[in-house]
This record gives sequence, structure tokens and C-alpha cells, in this order.
Amino acid sequence: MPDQSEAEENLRVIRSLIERATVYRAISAPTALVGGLLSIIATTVIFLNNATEYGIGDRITPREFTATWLVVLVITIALNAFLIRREAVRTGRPFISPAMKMALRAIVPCLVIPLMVTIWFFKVGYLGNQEQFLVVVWTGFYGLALLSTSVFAPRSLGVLGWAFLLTSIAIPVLDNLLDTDFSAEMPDLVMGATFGLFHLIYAVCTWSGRSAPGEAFREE
Amino acid sequence: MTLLAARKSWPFQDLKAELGMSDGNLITHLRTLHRLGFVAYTKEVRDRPQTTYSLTAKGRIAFKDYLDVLEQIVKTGKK
Repeated sequence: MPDQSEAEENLRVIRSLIERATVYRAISAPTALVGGLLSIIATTVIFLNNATEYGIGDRITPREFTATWLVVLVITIALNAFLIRREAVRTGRPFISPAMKMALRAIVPCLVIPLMVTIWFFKVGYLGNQEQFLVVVWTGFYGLALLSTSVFAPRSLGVLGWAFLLTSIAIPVLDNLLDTDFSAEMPDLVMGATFGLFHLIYAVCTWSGRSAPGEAFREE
Repeated sequence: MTLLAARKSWPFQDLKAELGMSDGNLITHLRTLHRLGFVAYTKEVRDRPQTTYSLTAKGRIAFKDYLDVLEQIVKTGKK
């Protein structure tokens, strides 16, 4: 008969075995598709407004730029939450499952700096037209957030994380190297390329074996 | 149940080897779990017939609930 500490240890081992066997897909293919499309739309709207020769609207201010992307973020998060909840109801699992808690524990610390930088940008940063800095922080830390889940996430999410992280590093370098007519639009175009195009590619690549958001088994 | 919860599926022979149980003993346990809807099985023939077992969603929830109960018992004993 095991003593108390042995029983506790056995329970801990069993739980960790179950957790390790679980793959948690924080972003499903449908969420990536919608998020990607919304990002492409946002990029196009901002680009066309800024291109004054089309006479569509006034140039987007730095605060409007940030607000637009926050709206895209909120819609995408809401959709992801809806899909996870629907899947949880279908499979009889709790919405906030242990695997979801595990994913949040990994992701949340990576989002603290982007959150603080965004608040700073709204208060002060917008005065210096620092959108590019904001975009570097957003893409870089989003990439880190995805990579932080790589222990229990499918490989595709890790690849997406690396794509974001490397792009974030490349933005200032490319901005110095390339002197094009689009330099002023660099932040907008980078957002379209990363949050738009990368997510669309991820959606297409993961759609065929479309796994539902949330928990699944690790394939062996 | 721990083995079944830790992997997507288990061939019968692997489960038997891992648990060190006899065929008859193991199949009796698996049949009971299947009857309760906790375990599903698939039969396929490759080189030879093979039956693989996996935990169902119902079985996973039941096992987690069981672990919670065990944890409560351990905690109560601690107090």
C-alpha cells in the first residue's frame, strides 16, 4: 500500500503523462483563415486610405492604425473562443480545460510586453510615428507566444511562430536595405504579410487534416 | 487507463506486454471498459490481425474524474 507522498507522486505522474500526450492547438485552421482574411482587408483599407492619389479617405493616423488592428485582434480572439467552446460542448470537455490553462500559462507572459507597448503607443508613442516599432514588437512577441506552446502544440504552430519571429527581426534590416516608395507603408504591409498571409498559408496547410481547436491527441 | 490516456491508441499485444497481464485477464478488463463506453477498439489485418484500443471521450472524462476523487482522498488523508 503506497504511503501518502507516494500516492501524491503517482497521481502527479499520471496527470503529467496525460498532459504530455495532449496536443493543444491554440489556433485552428478556420480561425487562421478568418484572421488572415481580416488582416488582408485591414491592410488594404489602411493602404488605400494612405494612398491619397485614390482620394478614398484621409491618411490613417497612428492611433487609428493601432485601433484597426486591435479590432481585428478582438474579432479573431472572439471567433477562436467561440470555436473552442463549440468543440468543448461537442466533446463534453470543459471550455477552460487543463490543456487550455497550460497553453495560457505559456502564452500570457509573452504578451505582457506587447500589451504595455501598445498602451504606451496610445498614450505617447503615436506622437513619434512609431508604428514600425509597434509592429516589430507585435510580430516578434506573437511569434514567441506561439513558440512557447511548441512543447504541446502541433509542429505547424511552431513553424508559424518562427516565421513571425524571423520576420520581426528582419523588418528593421529590410527597412534599411530597401528604399522603396512603400517605406512609409512598411508597418501596414508587414502586418498584411505576417498576420494576413502567414495565417492564410497556415490555414491552407492545416485545413486538410483540419483538427478542431483545443485538445487532441499527439500522433505517434 | 493511464496507458490508454497517455497515447492515442494501443495494440493489444503492446498493452499486454506493458502491463504484464495474461490475455484472458486483460481482455476481461478491456471488455468491461468497452461495455461502459470508456474504451473503443478497432480490428485490422496487416500481416496478422491486430486489435488496437483507445480511450473514448467519455472514458477520458471518467478517468479524470476518478483522478480528482483520488486526489481528494489523498488530501483528506493529509489533513
